Amino acid sequence: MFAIELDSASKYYKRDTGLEATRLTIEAGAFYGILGPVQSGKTTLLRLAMGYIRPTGGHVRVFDMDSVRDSVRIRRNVGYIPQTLGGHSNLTLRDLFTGIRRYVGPFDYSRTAELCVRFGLDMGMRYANLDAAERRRFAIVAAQLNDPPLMLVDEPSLELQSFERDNLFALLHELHQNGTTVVITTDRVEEISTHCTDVAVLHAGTLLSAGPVEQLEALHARRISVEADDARGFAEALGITNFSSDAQKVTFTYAGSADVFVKTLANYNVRSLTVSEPSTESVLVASRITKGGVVRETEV
Amino acid sequence: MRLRYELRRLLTAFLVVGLSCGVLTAGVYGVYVLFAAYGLTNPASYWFYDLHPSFRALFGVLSALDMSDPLAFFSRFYIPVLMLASFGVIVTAARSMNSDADMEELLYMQPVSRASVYWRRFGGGMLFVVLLNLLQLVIAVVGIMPIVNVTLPYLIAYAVIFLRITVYECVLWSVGMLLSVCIRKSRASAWCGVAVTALSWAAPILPAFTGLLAFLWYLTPSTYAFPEYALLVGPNYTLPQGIVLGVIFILCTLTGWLIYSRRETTAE
Repeated sequence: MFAIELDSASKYYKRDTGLEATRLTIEAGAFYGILGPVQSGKTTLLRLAMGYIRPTGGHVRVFDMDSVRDSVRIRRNVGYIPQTLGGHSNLTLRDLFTGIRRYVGPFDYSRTAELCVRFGLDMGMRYANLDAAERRRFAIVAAQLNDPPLMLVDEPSLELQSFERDNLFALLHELHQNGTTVVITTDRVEEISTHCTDVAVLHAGTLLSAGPVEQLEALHARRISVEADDARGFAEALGITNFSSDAQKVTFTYAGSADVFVKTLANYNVRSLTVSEPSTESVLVASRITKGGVVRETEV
Repeated sequence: MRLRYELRRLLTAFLVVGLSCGVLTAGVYGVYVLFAAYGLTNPASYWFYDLHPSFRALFGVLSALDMSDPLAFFSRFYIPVLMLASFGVIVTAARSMNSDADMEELLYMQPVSRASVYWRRFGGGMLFVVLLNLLQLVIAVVGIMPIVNVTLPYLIAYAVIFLRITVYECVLWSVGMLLSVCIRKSRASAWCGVAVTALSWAAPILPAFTGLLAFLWYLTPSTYAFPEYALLVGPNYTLPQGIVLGVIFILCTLTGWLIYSRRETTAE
């Protein structure tokens, strides 16, 4: 069964393209990442699934429910953590949770209290007084009141400090282990490669690639920078042809075996070595190439 | 249960409008004490004596009213209170859907349809108007009690006036809600509401002077507080007035519902 199914779904705003006609399925039980830079259509995709916006063409289904016709039923089964929460309600969090309970039905209040403690929220705080990070933490708690089988998280890292982010991902993994489908959107490659089982890469509203994380080679490639006596020779020994170099330093992208890399490196007198995660841009370029088009990095 | 939540949202507006009207009613009754004490009669006729008959018609000065009569006095001098209440209602209604639009994202995280939110707000507004007028009726009757002996016919007359005012303010609420749905900025919609209400007060100018578009008489709030307006528009004016108001009420309510329920939820 698919948690989310986009059947040629597109969304065009007055001036912008939100999402080009897209076919994408997200299996129930996946920990799915949607990767893309700003304005790539990630949030549009989640908002389509929530029924907040209607597709211009095609259909979006969540657990076989149509996102337009059954949006209320869908939201009964989906926990959604948006990027930002606005509003100036003077109600306390306790009052808001109580209000929400009227919509979602009875929920385990002790679990809510426990989550509030976990995310550093006091139930007596007034919503209007919460800063952006606290609102986001509030959204995290509010999204799970009815134990939804699908969690949609828009930019999990936004506004959160590193320990809060770790806390959120730990929670998402707990939920995932208990059978919840988790979908996150992000522009950080490391969040995809660290946490997700599957990934879809979006750019300017177009789906570039989708599939299991291990099949998207670009995600596993590393940016390598080596300073050695014969740095150029080292790169060539690895079979790298596309690299930038000066006299004693080479920089290139490597997606091959770590064992081969280390053993080859041992033959050279290395003064410095830098290994970094691939950039979102490099993943986009690689995804475009996979799709058939040849795109230079500067075009992305 | 859900209407109770809506009333909680409207509590501040209810207190502000209700108490302001109450204070103004007390002020009006203070003036009445003077009329009652000095036995003044028909002052309005003196004021309007030299004016064009259309002006007199516009202000409902048709018959020689005895201002020491509490009901006659009330129907004439309650106008400022009614004006304040109508502006209070339209401003509250015109902010009902857009003042907390930035909470939409949070609201629609829950399994709730846009239509149900609209109808809940609408129901809350109707209840707001009914409770507001009940409060005003109580204030009007209790306020006059120490001054005159309130008999049953007076009570019934007051109740009928407030029933008619309630109907008028329910229509105002539907117009205000439509403005609130159509105009995203709550301040702009509130000012539009004020303008619409002011126009409704001025509506009878045209028929008063030209005799054209007689239905505009039905739109002015003064026809709800002045029982003698029946004389202006004929003995059978209740039905056509009801039809005109009913059409406005239904049109505004349904249009607002259609627009709001088809609108997409926007992020802040």
